[in-house]
Amino acid sequence: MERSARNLIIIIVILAAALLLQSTLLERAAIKGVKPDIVLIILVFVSLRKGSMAGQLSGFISGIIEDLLSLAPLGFHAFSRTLIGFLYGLFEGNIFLDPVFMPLIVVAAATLIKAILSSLVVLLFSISTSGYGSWGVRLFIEVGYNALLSPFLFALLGLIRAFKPRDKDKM
Amino acid sequence: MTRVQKIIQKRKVGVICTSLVLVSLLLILFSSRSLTIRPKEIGQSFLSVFQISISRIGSWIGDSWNSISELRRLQQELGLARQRLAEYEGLSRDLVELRQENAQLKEQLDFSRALPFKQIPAEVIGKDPGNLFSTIVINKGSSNGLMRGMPVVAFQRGLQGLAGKVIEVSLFSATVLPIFDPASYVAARLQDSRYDGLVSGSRLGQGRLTMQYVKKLAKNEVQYGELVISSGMGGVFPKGIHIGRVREIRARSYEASLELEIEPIVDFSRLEYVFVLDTGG
Repeated sequence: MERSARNLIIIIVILAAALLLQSTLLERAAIKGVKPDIVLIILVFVSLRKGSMAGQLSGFISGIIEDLLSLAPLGFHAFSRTLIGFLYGLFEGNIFLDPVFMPLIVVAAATLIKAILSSLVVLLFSISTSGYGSWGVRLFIEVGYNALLSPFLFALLGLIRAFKPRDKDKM
Repeated sequence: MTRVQKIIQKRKVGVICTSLVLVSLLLILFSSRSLTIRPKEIGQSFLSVFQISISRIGSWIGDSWNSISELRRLQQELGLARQRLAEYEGLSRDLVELRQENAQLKEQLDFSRALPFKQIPAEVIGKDPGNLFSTIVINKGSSNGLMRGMPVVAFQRGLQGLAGKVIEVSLFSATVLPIFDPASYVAARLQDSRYDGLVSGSRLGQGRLTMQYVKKLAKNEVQYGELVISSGMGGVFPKGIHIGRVREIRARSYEASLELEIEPIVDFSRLEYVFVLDTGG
């Protein structure tokens, strides 16, 4: 199997494991009912390191898995995660990822982009949700929670071989 | 190679991104329950195995970690319990009389037939992975006799409270739509003043319920803290199950009915075990 394909499978397995964690154990770490979106943090890291192709593919597949575990209609999370994967992939190699500040900024921005895209789909398809409630406190808790976790997760993910930048293995 | 093929080859990333976005949108468009129930059920059956495993491992680690501090706490509680035992011995004499009285009252009020349904106990193994939706996943599925539409209750604070209803069933797990979801509607009644209404989840946030379409006449009769129960109308939820207590009464001059804010009986953040009612429907 080609190295890039093998790496993509590893990334998807990690994203699927993160999703299962989010639906089970991370429920205990929720602040006011809001849990962190570690899948989004991993997706941002993958896209910035591996480019648009890996970003959009892992975003789409992890989104579909999330849709299966959720009340959301199939394609709901796949839509936003595919676009985020693609958009962040465009910045591959152009953003210097320092250990603290850049992860905070890119992940906070990704959470807001996710909220915009999700709200757009909710409006377009008249989907009933109990979530952000007109961009209330819950969204800003999630933005802060994800941003605070990002430096730690980015440092951890940097140790995994499959997440190494593309110049070492072309995708 | 044709011109189109050349363009596709050149803009491979963009073409794939557009295709994936289109597929996502088409999936949302055709995601009405009847069309997607099969792939969702198959996916859930597969993923629930992992959810159950992770949930159990997490509980085991958590339990072991807590056991040391638990021992210390138990020692203190033992002293307190001994003191209380002496008090309860006195109370137990009165209890026999109260039990007899209670049995008579139950007979009079015909409460003995209050829940004539089979109850299937289940454990909460997961919740929605995101923050936008609010489902609960339980560890019983079609192999345990669960079916879509079955009501789900929980025992908390000495009361049986309505938790939601089963909306999707896979082989080993089921998805429950909690009553605080905006898509959930329950035909309800105020227990004392007997006015009817419709309880639904609030879009303002988790854990809030709104009771609508209550007659304005009820304004002077409804009490803060009054219990709200299911009325049994519509046939989805059985009659008489506690839903919550009145927390706020809103009477707007331009509306024909009252709007009540209800605090649910069930504390969903601490929900661990539920009972699925087999109403035979």
